[in-house]
Amino acid sequence: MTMNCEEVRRSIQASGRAEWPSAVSAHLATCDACVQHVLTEALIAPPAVTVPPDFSNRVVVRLPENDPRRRGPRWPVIAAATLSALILPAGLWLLLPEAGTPQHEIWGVWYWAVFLAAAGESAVLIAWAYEPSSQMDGSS
Amino acid sequence: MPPDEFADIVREHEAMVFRVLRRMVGRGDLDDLAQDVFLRLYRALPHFEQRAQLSTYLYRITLNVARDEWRRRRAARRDESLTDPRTTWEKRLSDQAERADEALERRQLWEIVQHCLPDLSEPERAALVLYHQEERSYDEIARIMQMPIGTVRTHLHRGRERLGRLVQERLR
Repeated sequence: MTMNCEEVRRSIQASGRAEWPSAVSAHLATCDACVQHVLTEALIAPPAVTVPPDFSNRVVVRLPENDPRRRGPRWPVIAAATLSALILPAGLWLLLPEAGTPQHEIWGVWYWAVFLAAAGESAVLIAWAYEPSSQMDGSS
Repeated sequence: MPPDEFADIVREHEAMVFRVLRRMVGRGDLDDLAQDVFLRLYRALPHFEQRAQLSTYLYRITLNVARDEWRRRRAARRDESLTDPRTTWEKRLSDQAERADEALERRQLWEIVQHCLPDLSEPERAALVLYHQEERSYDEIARIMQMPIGTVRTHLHRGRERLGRLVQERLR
């Protein structure tokens, strides 16, 4: 049995989300206009999804304020780490002994300076990674 | 922002986020993805100055989360096909055929459309969902997708054409 466009559209409207006769499928397979017509209806109809009743509560529990893994001061740690990375090596440099100091003592001061700078930078990086980045559009 | 106030925002928009995710990524664990959307929104909130922009940003974040999930699934499928010798082209083709048969059996256009949507490009799918399902204007879609209105129209037009062809192929 063949159907014309009007019959097909009436049949689909009447069947809603239920199955429709095979004659409808046969018509749609060859009729661009009817396919576009029913596509619009299919796209407008919202998909069947159910939001869990406690969804918002579960989101709130995961907020940084409520998540102990993400809690904690960030900028004070970064400031302290930056200071240790910059000021301590500089201070050691100022404390360098006068001329005539044995070479091994000068190297000792330099080792400390490099160690403190590396430790400070590591602290900065750790503090930076402590909280996830926040981009405006949530892209990754 | 106090958590209670943010919970109100979540409740106000959660249905929209689930709807868009469902269309964009299909079936799967939408709960985790939706949580990710709102956590990203929360982190971006300090940058907002106007509450009116919130829905635009939320749509954008939702599309970004959907795109990330899409890429993750595609990479997982690729890894699976590389490591699993049983995953051959024949198997993949038969999976496609099973999906089509399943949809045909039900003869529901809604199911068939949902099966065909993943075959569109991501911008085409997003434009169709935002325009038809979410009833957003061209102007708003352009702002959400960060592209000119003309490009949005092109994606919509091509998306509808391709979707129509794909649906007809499934029905034949």
